Amino acid sequence: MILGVKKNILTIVLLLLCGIAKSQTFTISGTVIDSTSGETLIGAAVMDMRSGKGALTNSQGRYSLTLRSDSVLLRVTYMGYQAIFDSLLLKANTHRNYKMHSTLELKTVVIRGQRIDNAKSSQMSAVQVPIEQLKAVPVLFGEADLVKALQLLPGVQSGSEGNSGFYVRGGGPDENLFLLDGVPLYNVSHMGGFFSAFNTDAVKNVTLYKGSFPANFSGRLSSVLDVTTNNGNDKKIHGNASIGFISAKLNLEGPIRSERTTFCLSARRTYADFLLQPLVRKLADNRDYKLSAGYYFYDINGKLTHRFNDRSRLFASYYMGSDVVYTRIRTLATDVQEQYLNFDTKWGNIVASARWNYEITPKLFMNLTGAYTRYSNRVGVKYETETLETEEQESQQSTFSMNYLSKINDFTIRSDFDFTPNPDHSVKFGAMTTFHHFTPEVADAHLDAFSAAMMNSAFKLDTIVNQQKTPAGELSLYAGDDWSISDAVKVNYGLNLSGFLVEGKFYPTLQPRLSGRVMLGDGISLKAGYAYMTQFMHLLSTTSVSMPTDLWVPVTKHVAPMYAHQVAAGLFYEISGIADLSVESYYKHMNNILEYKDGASFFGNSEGWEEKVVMGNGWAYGVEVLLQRDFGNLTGWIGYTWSKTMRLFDRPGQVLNHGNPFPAKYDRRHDLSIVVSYKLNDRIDFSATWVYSTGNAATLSMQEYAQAQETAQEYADIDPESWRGYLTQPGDRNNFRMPDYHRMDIGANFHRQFEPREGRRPLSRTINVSVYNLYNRKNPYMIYESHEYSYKNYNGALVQLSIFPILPSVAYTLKF
Amino acid sequence: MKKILFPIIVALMISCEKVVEFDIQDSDRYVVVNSLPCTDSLVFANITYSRFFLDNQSFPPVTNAKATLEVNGTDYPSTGRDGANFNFAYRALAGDSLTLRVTVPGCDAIFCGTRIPSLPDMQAPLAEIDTLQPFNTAEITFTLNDPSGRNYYYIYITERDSGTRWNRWKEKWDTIDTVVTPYFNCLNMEITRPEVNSIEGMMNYFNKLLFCDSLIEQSQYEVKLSLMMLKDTAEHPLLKQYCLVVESLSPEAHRYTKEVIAAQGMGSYFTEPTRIFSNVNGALGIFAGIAKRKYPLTFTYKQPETSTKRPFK
Repeated sequence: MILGVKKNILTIVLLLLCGIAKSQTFTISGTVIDSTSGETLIGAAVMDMRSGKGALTNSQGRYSLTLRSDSVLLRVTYMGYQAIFDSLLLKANTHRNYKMHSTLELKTVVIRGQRIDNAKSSQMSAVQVPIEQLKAVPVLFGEADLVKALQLLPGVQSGSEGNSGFYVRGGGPDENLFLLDGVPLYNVSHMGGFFSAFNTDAVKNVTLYKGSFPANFSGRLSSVLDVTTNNGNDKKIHGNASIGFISAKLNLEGPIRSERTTFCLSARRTYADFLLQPLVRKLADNRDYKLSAGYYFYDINGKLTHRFNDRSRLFASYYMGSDVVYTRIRTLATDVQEQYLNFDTKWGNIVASARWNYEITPKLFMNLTGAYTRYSNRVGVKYETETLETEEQESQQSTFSMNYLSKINDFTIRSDFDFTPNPDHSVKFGAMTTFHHFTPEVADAHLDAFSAAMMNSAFKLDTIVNQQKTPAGELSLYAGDDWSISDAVKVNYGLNLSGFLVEGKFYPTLQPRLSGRVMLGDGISLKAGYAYMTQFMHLLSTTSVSMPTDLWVPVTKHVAPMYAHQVAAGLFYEISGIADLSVESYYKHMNNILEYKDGASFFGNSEGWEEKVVMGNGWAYGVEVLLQRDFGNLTGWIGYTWSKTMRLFDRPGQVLNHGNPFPAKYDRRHDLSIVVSYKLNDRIDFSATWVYSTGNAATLSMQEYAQAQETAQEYADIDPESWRGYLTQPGDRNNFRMPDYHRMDIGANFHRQFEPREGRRPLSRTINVSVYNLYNRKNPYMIYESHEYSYKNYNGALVQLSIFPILPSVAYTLKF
Repeated sequence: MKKILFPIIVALMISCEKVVEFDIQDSDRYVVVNSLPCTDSLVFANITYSRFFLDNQSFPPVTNAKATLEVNGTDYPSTGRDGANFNFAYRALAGDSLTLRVTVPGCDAIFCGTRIPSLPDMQAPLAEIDTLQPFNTAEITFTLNDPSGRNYYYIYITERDSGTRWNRWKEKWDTIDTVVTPYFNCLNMEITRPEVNSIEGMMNYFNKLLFCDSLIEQSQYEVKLSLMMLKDTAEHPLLKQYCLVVESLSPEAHRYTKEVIAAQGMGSYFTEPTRIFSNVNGALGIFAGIAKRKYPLTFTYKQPETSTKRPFK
């Protein structure tokens, strides 16, 4: 095996060195930035019109283009910006920075899913979405949501109604790697999954990979969502403030030291808890019972950027996001005794990172990153009683408190290098190591002496349960090259060598990646790709909604890593002057995936979780069609996915569904999204979305039967209408389909630019009006059996619960 | 503001329910054979059909079934049927090997087997109660001799429930004199000697404690049950005629009970539906032996030395 690995690495190194030897060449390198804000532009194209060679800017906005000594005519293009043409005689290595001007016309592009470099890129199954376009999609409560907008793209499915859960090409919700400035985020949901943790005001760029993963990504099976935050305007301080139906946001950015040091700060908080307080108080408005309760979430993004010189930059990023639920109950138990019950739950992420970006040579860039990630959830309960002194007894106080805590701490160091030996090769290589520290479910209880006596010594005074900490180490080395073999043929190939050390056991994996494209004609290309991915962590979750009790656990001695092979092929066609069309098909085979045993539940308890799961295989295949128009006043896309996702658990002792294949919970045959935007004029634009998908699968128990009793009297006491006394006999897993899902949302933006007063900043405002679920479709959120209804000649019925009827909302944004 | 805000919030928070149309037919019903032969009573088997999940009628008895109990090689045909219960003139004894055969016209042969475990080897419990605490708190201690091999226990407390009760089916008052499992605020079990911090996999289901001896394999250990009773029901505990019941379960009875508790404990929204263990060939249900000991509890009052205050009311 080791010999095989060495052979593969040698082959890769030889391939990487190919083509480096050429006639005398020089390199043009530099950065492409926005002329107004100074923000670097990711994915801008720099091309020599004479030779036809070109390069794209990397995630730091840098490019490197090596050309023969000659006169060159460079064209720099980026969507939404005016193209720059630059003519020069190349006699030596040259540094050129380009400042691009946003065009008025391209501001009209409201919604767009942009494939990376369209038909010419070797990368497939990836979507890069400008954040301004994501913000324009009409959404729930008017709260722009990055993840929900991405769910409208083919190959990406949502979970249940309104949920920001992410299901990519048959994968589970834990098989997606969410990167915030290159650092993994564990919990990307707020409010039980109705909102994602990404504040769109802080985000600059989003790229979603669904397959054909580049070699630098590893750790999850199904997708990578790479989110880059704003660096901050280096010219002047400006920002925006907005208030919507449920949250208020503030975004500030600007220079600390002009064109050297910038900052960007964004904050968001929901305020439903303030609005609902009068209602909560009204519910418990009496002398004996006082209630105060609420829920809110917040997130803060901060970033500092310092430019030492054109070759060196330092970035420091910070993210903190939390959900908080609190309840305070005060009860007057008797005339002399009061009871207090406090319940507090808080869960969320903290991410801090520092990154040094350095141009070692015009052809070689380096990124050195140190990062810390923490995900924690804490549940605290405190119960106090206070008895006043009376003639008959002394005053007494008793306190009982319990805390439950789960957390993960990750420390990561990674180095990434971009090497561009010539325009035909773009090499990436690097290394990453992460130290994980899992602390699942520490519970502690504290009692005072009186409470302990009252509980009759069943509990100790201070008890801490399960302080077990699981350290784990993860290592990843990678190298990959994007190689233009000819004008028609381009390949991207690479290797990722990853390993995971836990409980004294090391799991090494060698993950090859390969994708390529062949130009079939002008604007038509055929692409194909293969990726092998491994995942070393599992999410223990019981429900389809995101819960604070969901637990991340590492692989163990007994539970091996998951791995998946995915192949994809597609046709990409730019229909000149009309739209872009892509058709992709994929097949993915997943191994060692987990499912819960019949009746197993984690609900905040991971004890013995290895005994509660079974390990098996899954496969998914499908076809994705994307027809997209991104110019003119009418823009948008139509995305359609036909797919099938199956699971099989037939290993000895790990059988589900009698060892027969069954559809996965989120197996959907059809998924259709239509997204349309129309710009009426500079002051008004409209947008609308319509989505349709096959209903979710669920397991229905068709037959009920009596539970065994010890005595004849107990059988006689069984109440046929009660839930007790009978058992259910489930049918095949996921044997029932919920009704189909469809919904239409519409939105309109009304813009106004205020004339700036003397010496004041220019001001503009946008009023967003949107309607979620325009025709009030009752989509299923949950299905349950109820005997309060009847169906046909039965005394009961299957009842669906819908949670979001038609929901209008308004948001007001002020930019300054 | 409130007049506008509250209706909006209520309108938003309101959930919408709707009956789902579906074309699933009433699937074939199963024969269900349930029998828990126990050392304290005559053996009987409850034989019914299952029902479609949207029905809430009583489970229909299989009136044309024939049942035979075989005990250590001797056949005992059922002596009669009372509703769905087929009775046998045999009281199970510890160590018995039992086989139940049921024939239902039109169905495959139905058969199942079990063994009655040995009776729990224990001494009569001691019971103390303290009525001076906010709740009446009691301790019940006893010594249990755990025989070799894997053993399974089910421990609970019963009380006599007598009086009159409205029978909503017959719409009249019934005089009852039965035994039920009462509600306690808290019921904990500890192994006090040798001290065991936790008993792996112990389940507390409505104050019934189910566990196996995998972690406490010991020839003799002392058990302490701590429980809290509501004042109104426990003010005169002697009147309730509490009994301690300790059952020794066959492996089938343990697995079945454990899976039933797991299925009913969490609720259907958080788990996949459970397929409950069955050892009945050709049908659903369970045939599992139980050996039971039952001790009336005689409480003695425990007076804390430091307390001079009167009991809480």
